[in-house]
Amino acid sequence: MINADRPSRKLLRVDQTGLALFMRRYGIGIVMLGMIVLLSVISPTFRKPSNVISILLQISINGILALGMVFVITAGGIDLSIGSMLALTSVIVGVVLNSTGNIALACILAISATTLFGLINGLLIAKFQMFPFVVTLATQLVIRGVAYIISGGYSQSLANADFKNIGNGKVFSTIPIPVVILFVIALLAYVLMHWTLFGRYTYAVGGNINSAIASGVNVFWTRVFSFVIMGFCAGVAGVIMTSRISAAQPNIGVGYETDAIAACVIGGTSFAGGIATIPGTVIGIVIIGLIYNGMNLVGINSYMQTITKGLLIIGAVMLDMFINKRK
Amino acid sequence: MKKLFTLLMVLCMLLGMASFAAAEDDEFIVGYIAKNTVDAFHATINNAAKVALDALVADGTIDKWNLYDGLTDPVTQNNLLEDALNMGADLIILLPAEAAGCAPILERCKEENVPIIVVNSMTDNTAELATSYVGSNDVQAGEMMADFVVEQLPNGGGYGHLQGIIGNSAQIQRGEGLHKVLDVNPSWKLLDGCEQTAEWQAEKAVKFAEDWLAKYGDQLNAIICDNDDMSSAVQAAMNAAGRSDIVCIGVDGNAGPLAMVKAGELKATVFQDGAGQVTTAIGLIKDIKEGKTVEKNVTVPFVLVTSENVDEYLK
Repeated sequence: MINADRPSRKLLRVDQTGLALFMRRYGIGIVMLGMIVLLSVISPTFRKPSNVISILLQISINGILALGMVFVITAGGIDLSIGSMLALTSVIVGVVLNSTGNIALACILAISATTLFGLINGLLIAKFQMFPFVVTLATQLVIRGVAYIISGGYSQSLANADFKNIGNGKVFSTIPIPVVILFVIALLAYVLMHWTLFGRYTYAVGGNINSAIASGVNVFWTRVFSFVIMGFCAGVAGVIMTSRISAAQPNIGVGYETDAIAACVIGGTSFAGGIATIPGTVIGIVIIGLIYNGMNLVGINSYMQTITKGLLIIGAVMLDMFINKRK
Repeated sequence: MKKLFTLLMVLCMLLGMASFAAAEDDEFIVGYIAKNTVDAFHATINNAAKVALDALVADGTIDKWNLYDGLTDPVTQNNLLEDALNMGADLIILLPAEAAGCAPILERCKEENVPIIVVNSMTDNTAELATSYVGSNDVQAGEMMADFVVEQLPNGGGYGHLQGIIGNSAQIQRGEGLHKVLDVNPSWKLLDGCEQTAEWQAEKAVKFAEDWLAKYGDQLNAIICDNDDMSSAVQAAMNAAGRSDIVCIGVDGNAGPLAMVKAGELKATVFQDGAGQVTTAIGLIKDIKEGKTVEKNVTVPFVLVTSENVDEYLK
């Protein structure tokens, strides 16, 4: 590996403005395009418009989670509690909807609850300097427990047809509503990350916390707010998920943090913090979706799928390290 | 650039392992949505399904079938259905991960006019929307476990109940069955705090059981578990603690528990014929394809396995 790296480093140094820069910006995008081309050739089903729509629908939940996660990771954190937040959203929606029938109220209360837990995560981490991994590992249990208490452990069917529309309805009878929501959230995330002071602070806090403090960045609120964004996104994703399965369940969402984190990492978000782009994250989200859909379409057996997913993540990260090699 | 191509080539190879065969419209394709491919019980079901479906391909009843791994997650199963439909599936076999969360799958099949056979556990709308349901009556399993405990320990005593994941139809109905028998039996009492969910997991079950043993000692006489991964592990722990008199029983008939019955370490287990369920379900495909009406509800019975009949089930 060391030997293989040497010429490439030389290449980077010599050709900084040409190929290397191009690859740094668009490398992972090329991987995505490559996958799309490949799948189109291999599987005729892949090219069907209905399949394209269903891929977009399938990535919407993970996509919204990843777009929240990218802020947390960029600010130097990690959030393992989002799977439980999905379950909490689900049961709150269920209880409120079944008792009042008010969809807006159900969604607002549910999203507020996860946003509040995001705030709690953020405060614990920023105020007491606790490790994000440990805090969210713990709050994951707390939130899951709350979901079980609220639901009494039982799942409920949701008969409300309008609510079902959030996850299953289509705009102009072609584009599923979750895809529209994903698009809007991606747009908001782009503006927030790349065009605002908060976005620059997020990079600064994750990149080098000491120099961020020295330059007068409000480190405390930047870190807290990254978790608040995550909580909000988890709530939105949870509403969609609940609507998709038309059921309020305390046991859903286990392991959903894995794919969200994977999407960020594939999309070039550095685990060390301080490096990420929203377009990159979106590409990471699409790649995860292509992995799932593509492997099902070509009929790779499920044990192989798990291995393939792992290898692809490692491959993507290695590619990213090669492309983004910093001095 | 070279590395990028290497990566793409690896991808090519991985994807290329699968067949290039395209789905044609006149092919009859079966989409088999598994609950998961990892736990022993479902591995047995999936293997039986593979044998039966391959046989249908061989005799020309169907052209192709695909297995989709539901990862024990209703959302994943909903997504997989879309993949199956896009692949041109003409019939779906579903092993639901969850009663409420998998209900939309049946609604989608109805919308698309694709017949669906639900196997092993029901969704909330199985009675209305499934073309057929093949499974076992879990209430019966619960009753069988309770009856066995009563028969083994006629003097009665205190018992604990270790549940599966709450909300799963097997968990609900097995609990219902056992309470139906034991709640009306004056000599049996559910010990305080001794009905907990160990989420089907042996290791969690053992932790509960050991705590109960420490707390109740001789008052604890039986532990009934919603599956036999839990009951066999709990029995082993009780035996190790010198309390082999405690009767532990569960449902499924997995390989480990059956071996323990054979060795005399576990008194009994309730065998759920998963392979029989899925094979029966696949047996309906021909009739459904030919447009014949099939039975809406097919029940495959549970069997109490003790040292007397264990050899029939041990493979």
